[in-house]
Amino acid sequence: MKLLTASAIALFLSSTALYAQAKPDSASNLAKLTDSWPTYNGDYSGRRYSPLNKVNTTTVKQLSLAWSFRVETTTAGGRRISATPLEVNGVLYFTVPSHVWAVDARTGHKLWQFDWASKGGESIGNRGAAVLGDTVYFETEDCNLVAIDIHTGKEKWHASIGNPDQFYFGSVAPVIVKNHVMVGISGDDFDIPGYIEAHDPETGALQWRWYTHPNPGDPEAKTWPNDEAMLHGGGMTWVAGTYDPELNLYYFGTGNAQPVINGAARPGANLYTSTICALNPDTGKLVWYFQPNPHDTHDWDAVQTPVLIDGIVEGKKRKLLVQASRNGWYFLLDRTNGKALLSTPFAKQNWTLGVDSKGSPIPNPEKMAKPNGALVAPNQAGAANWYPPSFSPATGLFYVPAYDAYSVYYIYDNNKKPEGWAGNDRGGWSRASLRALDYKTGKVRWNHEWPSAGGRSGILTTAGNLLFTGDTTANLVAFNATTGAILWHAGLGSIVSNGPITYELDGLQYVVAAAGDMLYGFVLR
Amino acid sequence: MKKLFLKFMYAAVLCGLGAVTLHAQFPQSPVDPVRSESGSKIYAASCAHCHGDDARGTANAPDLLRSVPVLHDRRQMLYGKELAPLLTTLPGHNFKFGEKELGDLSQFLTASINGILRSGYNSQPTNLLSGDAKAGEAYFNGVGGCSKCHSTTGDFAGLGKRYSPSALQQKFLFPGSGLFVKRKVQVTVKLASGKTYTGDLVRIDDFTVTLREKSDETLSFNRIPGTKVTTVNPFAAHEGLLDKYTDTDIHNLTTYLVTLK
Repeated sequence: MKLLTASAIALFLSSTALYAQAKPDSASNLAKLTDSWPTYNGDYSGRRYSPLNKVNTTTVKQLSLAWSFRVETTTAGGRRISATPLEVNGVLYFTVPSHVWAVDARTGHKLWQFDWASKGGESIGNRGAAVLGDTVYFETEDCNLVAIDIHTGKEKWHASIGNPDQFYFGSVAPVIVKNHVMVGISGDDFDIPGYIEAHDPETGALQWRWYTHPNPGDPEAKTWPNDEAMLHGGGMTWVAGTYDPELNLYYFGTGNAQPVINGAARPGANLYTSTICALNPDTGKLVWYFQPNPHDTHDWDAVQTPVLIDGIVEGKKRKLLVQASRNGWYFLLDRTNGKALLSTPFAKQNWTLGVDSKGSPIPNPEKMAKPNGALVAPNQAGAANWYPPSFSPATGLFYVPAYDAYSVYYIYDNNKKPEGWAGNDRGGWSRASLRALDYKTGKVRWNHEWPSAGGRSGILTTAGNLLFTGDTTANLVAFNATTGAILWHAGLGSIVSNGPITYELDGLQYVVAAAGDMLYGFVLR
Repeated sequence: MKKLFLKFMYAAVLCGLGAVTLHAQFPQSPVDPVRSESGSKIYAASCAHCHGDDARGTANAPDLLRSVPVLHDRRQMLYGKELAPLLTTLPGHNFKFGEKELGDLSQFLTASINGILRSGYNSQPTNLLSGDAKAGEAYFNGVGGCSKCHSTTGDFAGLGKRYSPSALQQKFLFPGSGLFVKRKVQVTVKLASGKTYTGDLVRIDDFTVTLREKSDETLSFNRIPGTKVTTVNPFAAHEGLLDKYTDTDIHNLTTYLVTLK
């Protein structure tokens, strides 16, 4: 109780700080992740870079286990913690489908657990929570946004964010932008349109919803054969976005087009599926878009985190946005207007005929799924996926879990009106690497090929010139971020199931990683 | 219609086999094949005329697979209870189905929806034999280099009888994964002392390696300085081809290998 009281006071102070953090002077002010990790990506930039440096290339060898916490509640989606934990004022908040935990960040002891009575839905994972003031927010698989009292773990309100009958489900970590709870939606088994919406943080009231398709009659609607195909065209918003307070733009990627594999009934680029979008978070209006993957037929969404970098390109200071996309291509954009400055492969790919005048790859019709099969790189799992990448301003390198892979794409349903998936791929060969790219050129500066294929994990970089990530088996590994040399590792029970985080409390730097049903806290004492 | 039904039956069997993984994706809406078949007959007699043989709609009637009441019926396993009033009151509808008929129809529509979802790999894709067998034979003996390791009268004799076309295609493209993998990656661990161990690779990362010796004993080693680990992938030649194949080569080779009866 004493702890909770202390936490309550501190959380009040912290909430003020967090709200202030939502209105900084510039994006660079956001990169002050020291005693907290308050959003899915730490700060708004998506860099997952911490300025902490007590744990560094020299001291990392002394990093040792401080505590561990096991999730013991079974859900339909299993107990894998695929969330990034948040850390606010000494408390960690994380999720699995239908459940949220508050855990002491110093000891790993549970403070409270919130259990949602789900009415069913798809439970493939939950990426985490958002915190604003004294409220924790998360999405349930049966399509509710739930607000929880940060002190007691009791529900304050919930609001519907979709219809689970139509195969929508909730898995996305919400993001707080000013007085908006930004909510993405998931679902990939049926021909339904994606959207993003904003809710009032106090009441849960819907502020706006923006669908990931043009309005009928818009010029972009011509990228679909007809309105029916467009309105059933997919484009889920699976992954938390990033935000530039100066430009007041919220950036996120959209999911693949539907029907997924057989695109014969939806000729055209199919905007705004597999697209990077910039929205005004106050109005929900689209400001610009760039499409990494026109007319997708391989289940390659473009939801990979759009990372914001302030850098110099061709002698000019630029506000940039980069994405290592699931289709194997790396994009460097001007984030003020969405113009592509660079489009180049970062992994094995064989599906394009080059790039168009806007920098979007041009799909090769020969490498779309066929009834007798088409050999395609990358495979459905993608060269990248939702696993968070990282950018270190100290090294100038952009880090991505990169897979080179082949699979054969088959059409199963050649009906005139294919629906759902209408095909699938059959994989068999893949090679897994951690890849460091020069963000300006996309060139590989160093590549660490893991000795075996397997699962992948998200990435954290720090001012200690370290990169933390999980390998393909079950190790948490620290690299020298400049050279790619391995400096430290710890064997965990499962593959690191999102990106590690770091924070400093009482002068001690912690590194926390989720792996399967466990959360592990490491500390340098 | 029968063909359609069989496809859904097949999907139902697949769902049964893959219950562990699919449970998370589709926690509800199981289908009884007998009731679904009965429902397919009701559908064919009363609904297909307007909504199409496959329930995907026509110019005259909407797609039932995308219908929100049908989807709600499916997800909540209402067995037609909410559809019943619609079937009597919608324009052009005047069906008075009993509870059993409603339930069967609901099961048929549920099976139809389940059948178009992401259901994993269908092990019997069609039209895999569209290639040119002669060209496949030339590839086998020529640029493909297959005949350097395999013989159509030796290890490949009767190959077309042993495997389905889809299994054959999978085997030559990705012999190291999926079903029928008979050979493992070989690993040799040489310790600083000079002592050497060889066997099937069980697990490897940057820090440890595990192998199974011929004696069936499993051994693990730390990859400390002075330890040398070398692996030999028996399928390296196949993997090398992945960068070289054209899809035409793949189709020709599949068509040829199937002729090796």
